[in-house]
Amino acid sequence: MVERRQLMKGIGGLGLGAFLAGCGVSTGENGGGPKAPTFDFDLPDTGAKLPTAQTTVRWLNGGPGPKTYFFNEFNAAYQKKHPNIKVQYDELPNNKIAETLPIQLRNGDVADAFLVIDVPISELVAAGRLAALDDVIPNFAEWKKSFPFGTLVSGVQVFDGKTYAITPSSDRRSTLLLYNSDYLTKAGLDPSGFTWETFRAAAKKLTEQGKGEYFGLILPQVFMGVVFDLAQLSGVRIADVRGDGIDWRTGEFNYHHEGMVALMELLLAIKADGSLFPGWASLKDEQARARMAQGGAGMILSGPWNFPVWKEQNPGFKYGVARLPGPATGYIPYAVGGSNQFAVYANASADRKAIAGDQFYYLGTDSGQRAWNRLTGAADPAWSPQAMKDIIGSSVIDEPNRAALKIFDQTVRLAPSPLVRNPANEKVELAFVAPKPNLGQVVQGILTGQLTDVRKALKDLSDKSEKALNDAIAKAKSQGANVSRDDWKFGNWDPSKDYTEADYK
Amino acid sequence: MTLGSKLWHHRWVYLFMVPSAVLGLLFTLYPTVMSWYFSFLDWSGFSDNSSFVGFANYREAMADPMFWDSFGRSLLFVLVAVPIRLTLALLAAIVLNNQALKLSPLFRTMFFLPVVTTAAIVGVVMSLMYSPFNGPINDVLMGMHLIAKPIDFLGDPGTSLWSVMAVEVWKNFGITMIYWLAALQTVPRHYYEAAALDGAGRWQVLRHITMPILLPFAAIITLLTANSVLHTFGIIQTMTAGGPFFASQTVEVFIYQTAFAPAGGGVPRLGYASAAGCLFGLCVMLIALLQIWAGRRVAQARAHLSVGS
Repeated sequence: MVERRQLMKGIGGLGLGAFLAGCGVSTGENGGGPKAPTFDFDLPDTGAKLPTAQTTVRWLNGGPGPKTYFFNEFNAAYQKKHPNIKVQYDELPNNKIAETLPIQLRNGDVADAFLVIDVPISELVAAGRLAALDDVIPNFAEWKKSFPFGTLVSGVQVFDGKTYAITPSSDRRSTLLLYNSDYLTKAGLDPSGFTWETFRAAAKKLTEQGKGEYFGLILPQVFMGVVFDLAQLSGVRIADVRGDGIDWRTGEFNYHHEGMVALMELLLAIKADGSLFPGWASLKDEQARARMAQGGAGMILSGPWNFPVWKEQNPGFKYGVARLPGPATGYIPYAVGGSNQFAVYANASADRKAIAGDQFYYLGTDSGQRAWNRLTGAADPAWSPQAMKDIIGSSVIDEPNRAALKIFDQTVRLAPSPLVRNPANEKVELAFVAPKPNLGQVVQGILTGQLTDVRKALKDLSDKSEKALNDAIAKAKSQGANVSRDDWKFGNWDPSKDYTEADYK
Repeated sequence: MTLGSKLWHHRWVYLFMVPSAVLGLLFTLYPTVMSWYFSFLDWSGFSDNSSFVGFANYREAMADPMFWDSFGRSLLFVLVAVPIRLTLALLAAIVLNNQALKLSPLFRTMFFLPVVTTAAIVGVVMSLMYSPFNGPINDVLMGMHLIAKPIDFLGDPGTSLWSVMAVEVWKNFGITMIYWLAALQTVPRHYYEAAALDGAGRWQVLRHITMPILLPFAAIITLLTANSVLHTFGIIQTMTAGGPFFASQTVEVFIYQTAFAPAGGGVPRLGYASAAGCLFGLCVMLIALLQIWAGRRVAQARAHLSVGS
């Protein structure tokens, strides 16, 4: 699963890239200008009591990014169907939304529908900022049934039986091996079945082939999500939910597992070979992405959020997609609750709430899910299993996105969740103070030689995390929450399968 | 004359002060006071739920080695960057203060231009300049056979802090130069003319005329420069984000990463970050008071020497 902050950085990077290109915020119903629609939207009559007078509904979403493609076309189709309604659709990079949304909500000057990112929904619900969508989305109870288990979850979007946010996408995704097709073809390398050893050898071969013009592997300064995914694929049972390296079977932190030590040794060996792009330790995500597309490296371990950037900024860059190196039998867990939490402002007028509810309704339909999958690609996979199945088997999306979705389908599985088991654990999550340094920073320290004792560094991280979780549980208990450390233990967890509703019983 | 009548008498003075006072209240005093208030709260910054925790955040900061490490780096920044900036800027100001130098305005503009350039842009551009992969600085050093292989200026923990420090000095030394130039303007021209008639050389003029007159200004210029050097967030965040592994994390970056971008995606801690900021502010204030005290002692000693001579 992609670690949430890493994804934010990735998507935020899209915003930064566009900003540097002179387009920081796209506004208006069609964002980047009129383009021919690529999807035939089948907008249903939901029974919503929509206004008949001219009405404008305001949206604030994260972007520009893959979501922009969907909303540009969706809003145009929606306005065509409802000529009296104007959708004022604004975007900001995700990290900017996280900073500004709480202030906008406090001031009451906020969009009618918006993305909630990196702000606990529970806090906004407690403050009365969000409308209960049960009263906003038409035919809510029936409509909600289409969401698969683990998508709308108590403690994430549901509080006291009411739903305050919905998501059109799941978190079923991971980081990938993205490679320069020309370089690998020239080297005669097939990345589809890389083990750690063949991956290291390939990086070395590419570096030698590059003769100083390019290197085997490029990584950004911190790549925590990649480390989690590599470890999990190799069979190390650490879960990447909120960045906590828990082995769900024992409920204990597992950063110091021997497999993690072996992974650090692999990365150190690649560095010692001279296969790492020089200066990686100061490269931001977006800089590594740009260097890769400029031909500076043969391979990068990153996510599908790179695809739209490369498409826009480096259309001539030929790249391929493969699963991360490691044993073909490994699996990566992903968190419940989906991604892209959309909510409606509690004090929006009834008319605008009705419009937002009408639009939200579409996101949960078959047509909406297919449109979402088609237009956002692998960066934000739809939660609908049918939509996923359809798109993997079709040719309506480009090859990198289809390949990524196929890899997610094969390797990413739903993780257990203490929140599903006991929604009161939301209090624990709020009280959890992540230990410093985190795994990404520890890996950076190991690779730069600032941390020389790998085992000790990883054990320290496990110990600090254990203490942080115990402290958070104690604090939640002191606030009246009925929680337990045992909530974090799922003895029947099988990483190769989705952790279903039945598994909780 | 009573206080009331005094105020009324000078009412225009106070009236003209109102805009500045209002802005100062809104954007300096209010945030400062609120920051102190927040430092006593357990608060994420985005919810209505906050709890008063007394000095708990301060106790935590005092016991946090990462806070003290970043604090130490900030002090190192001051101890190294301030003298370099002061010296370079003074030398440049003395040269550019020479009326005979026709291109003086051009050079002044050139040195001042980086000051008004956005720190984030400078950071991004200088990252490219420093790059060990086709970076111009490494290319030049390699071309001159000064180094055998490229230096990873920003990615090597041994060089990252010094590299961002060099950029900070280059970017902002122009403002210190302007301060020195302003101070140099206060040296009466007839002193120089008299010295020239007496046959004094450049060094003697500098040693016996310029420096003694500049000395009282040095304290305030040092204070302003030290204050500026402590505010290097933009450059560090864009160039290294405090890395690698905190090697260039100064207090400002620590506060930002605690308040808005916590490691591992945890909940932001505005209360704790405020406490760290206030603690740092307090220490800086103590240093400034020490500096003022030292400046006064120097002035008193000078006055004593003048009387004695």
